[in-house]
Amino acid sequence: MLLKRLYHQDKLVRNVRGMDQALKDPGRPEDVVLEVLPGAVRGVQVLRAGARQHFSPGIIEGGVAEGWLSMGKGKLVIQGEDGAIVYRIARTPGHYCCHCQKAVDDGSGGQAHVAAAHAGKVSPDPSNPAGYRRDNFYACVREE
Amino acid sequence: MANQIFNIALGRVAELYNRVDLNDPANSALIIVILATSGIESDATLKDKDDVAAVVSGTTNEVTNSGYARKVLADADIVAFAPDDTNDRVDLDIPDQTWTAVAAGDGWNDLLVCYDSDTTAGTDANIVPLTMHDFVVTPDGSDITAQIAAAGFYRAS
Repeated sequence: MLLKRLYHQDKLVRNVRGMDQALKDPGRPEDVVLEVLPGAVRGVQVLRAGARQHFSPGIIEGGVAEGWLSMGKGKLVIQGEDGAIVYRIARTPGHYCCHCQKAVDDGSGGQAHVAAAHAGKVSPDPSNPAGYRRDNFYACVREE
Repeated sequence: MANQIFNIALGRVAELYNRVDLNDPANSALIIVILATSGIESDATLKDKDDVAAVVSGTTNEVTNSGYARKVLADADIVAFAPDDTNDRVDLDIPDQTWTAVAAGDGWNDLLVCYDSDTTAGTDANIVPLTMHDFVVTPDGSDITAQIAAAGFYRAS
């Protein structure tokens, strides 16, 4: 996925007089630019979005905070500059059995489930030879 | 030991990450490799290695604990590529990585993020090590999670 963050214009902080007629910085000329505050993110442009995407909690929290991403009712919506991109949340973060995809409570629950339901079977997921895994992301499928 | 970028990857990490995100080549991926404490060579020695086969060609070894396997991260698995135009930089991020039920055995020392242009080729000589991170763990049969920093595993600026 390729995102282009879009920003508000930078804000110029000028040396103006306050209610008491005193300059913000008396040592400098009136109206001179004292500081440039970087513009806040106003949205994103989605330049590339795949059919599947794993969203880390970090990028979701950042997107929600910046206002270009929302999550609810089993969906994750990126409010792109050119329209909304909607993903269905297929799996939330947590432990899952690699054999049957059953959600398990935690690591010990995963070990117990594999021992009880899939004893002696080789894990179908080479990256998780124990037979269960922990997903640290929201597994999402794009909706058309 | 410290975090470092392999010399072969200097100036290339962001683009190789982008190639995986683009799925170009189709079977490209980031590979997460763990190095064992026993026999680990110095940072200066490892920094000069140009592929994963070379990394483990000396006394340095990949861990062999039961429950461990390399993580393969394809385009859908990595976080969106999104340059930061305010701060003029690019942070590269991946989700936290968890190895489940890792048995005692090798002590873990470092985590490598590597680039494989073709995961079907199956040869370590084609896998480019990108970054190396301290990751000292003593496995005991429980899950092990590598928590990636909020800003990601690498910053290009």
